[in-house]
Amino acid sequence: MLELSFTKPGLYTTVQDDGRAEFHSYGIPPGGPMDRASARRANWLVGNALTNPTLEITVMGPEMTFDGPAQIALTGGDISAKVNGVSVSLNESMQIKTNDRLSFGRLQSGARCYLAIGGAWQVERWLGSASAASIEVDLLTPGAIVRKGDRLRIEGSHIIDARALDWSKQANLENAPIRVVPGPEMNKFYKSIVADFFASDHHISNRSNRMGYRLESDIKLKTDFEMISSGTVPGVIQGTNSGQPIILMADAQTAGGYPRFGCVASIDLDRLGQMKPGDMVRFDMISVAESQKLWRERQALEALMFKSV
Amino acid sequence: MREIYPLGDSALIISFNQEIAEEINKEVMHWADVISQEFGHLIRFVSPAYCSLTVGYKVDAINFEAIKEQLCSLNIDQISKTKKSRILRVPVCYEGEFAPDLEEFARMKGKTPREIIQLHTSKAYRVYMLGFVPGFVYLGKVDTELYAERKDIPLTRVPSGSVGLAGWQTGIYPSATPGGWHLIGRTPVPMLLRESHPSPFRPGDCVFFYPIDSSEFNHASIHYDA
Repeated sequence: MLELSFTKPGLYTTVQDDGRAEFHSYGIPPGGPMDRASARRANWLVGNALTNPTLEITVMGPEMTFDGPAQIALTGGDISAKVNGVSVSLNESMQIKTNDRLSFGRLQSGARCYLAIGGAWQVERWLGSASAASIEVDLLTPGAIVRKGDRLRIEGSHIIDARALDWSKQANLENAPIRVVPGPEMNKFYKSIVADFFASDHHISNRSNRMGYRLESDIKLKTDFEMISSGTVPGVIQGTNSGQPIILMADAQTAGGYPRFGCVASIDLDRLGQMKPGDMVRFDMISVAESQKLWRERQALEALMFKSV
Repeated sequence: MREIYPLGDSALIISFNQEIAEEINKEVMHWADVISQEFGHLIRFVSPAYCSLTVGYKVDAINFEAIKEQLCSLNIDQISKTKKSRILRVPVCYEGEFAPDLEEFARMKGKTPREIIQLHTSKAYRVYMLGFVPGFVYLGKVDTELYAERKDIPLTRVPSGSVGLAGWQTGIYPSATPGGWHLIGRTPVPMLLRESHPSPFRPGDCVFFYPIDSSEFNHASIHYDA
């Protein structure tokens, strides 16, 4: 059995697999990676099931040693990963030797880096998922938030032929606006507010986390419309009493009484998940049909990417 | 009146008459049951709220217009309601530190604490929904004599198991969270479980509270009526 020991936990390092969306009616957030596509790619690079657990590493990375050989891959945000002090690349599988040390440095891009390790992760599961619970984490998913001195065990650690990701067919959307489909209560906002929202620059507030991002901008996303608490999902953009928009993210609450102005297109949720406090974001409105078409196209591209071994 | 509209590109909302009423919530649950049975292969989750239903569906399998059409063509009123509400009896200690707001609340309503307990335990409540945080149960409706606006200043940390009153609702805080409800008691029953049913409650359940004293606090449990 492979064992990793964490000598530093990093700023916020959690175990994330595909989450537990099917428990919405119990009020339980879906969870899962903030950048799902990157987590899937990391798993593919080491020959795991695409929804295997990964470590989601936020802004400042942890430090860990491996007590045996392993195959790993890093994807998503670039936090200057190093093995034994030597820089390593994202988006390709790498061999780790006994006693190797993986560490991180300065954040170069994005906000979240995903670490996949080949094999079966021996981690606690709650409701079928290893993703860190958003509340009572020590009770429900002990070990899912990495702390100093923690150990992670992996059974059947395997090493496959080296893989790298082929980006040639992927569009570069780095600074493109985040696409949004109209929410159930968009028509309860003045037209001028809707127009201003899409015309304005917004910044991700410091008070942002896996549950939601607050936005800072000159506009007030506000309406007098009073509603009875209704369902929410990741991506929902809420207008609030103060007018500060909140975008619900991977650990989204399941219901709320704030008007749902819009909902981020699934295809762009991952890009939003790579943003951090202070980053500027703009929004574009698209239809649900368009959003669903984009999603299917991306799934097809992913399938293509994972076939080209 | 029912309306179906998208909630993003992989979920939809079925909206009913927008009021908090048992008959409407029963209709929500009926739709939830029927959709779970008939659309199992197309959906990710079905989640009832007071007077709306959220349905998460698989975008890879169906698009919004197609699933909306299928839902509209359901002859829902012809499908019989098979599910009966479960009856749960939930222990609550209305004493001392477990009931920090009881005396103040009673004074505000011109009653004695005993009368408040009597009112709170004399009625069957419906689980209208679970949420906004994991396992929080919204129960209603309370008697007019227990109606109250939320507290002006919410507590930053409500202990888990706290039983509160706000508006026409009574509810149980499953884990320590901020909250603005009047806390009149506490249940010792764990509200969040590691099991496949993460809460002892389900939407549509019928709940009675029964009083326990603090010496019973550590061994009281929920009774399920057959």
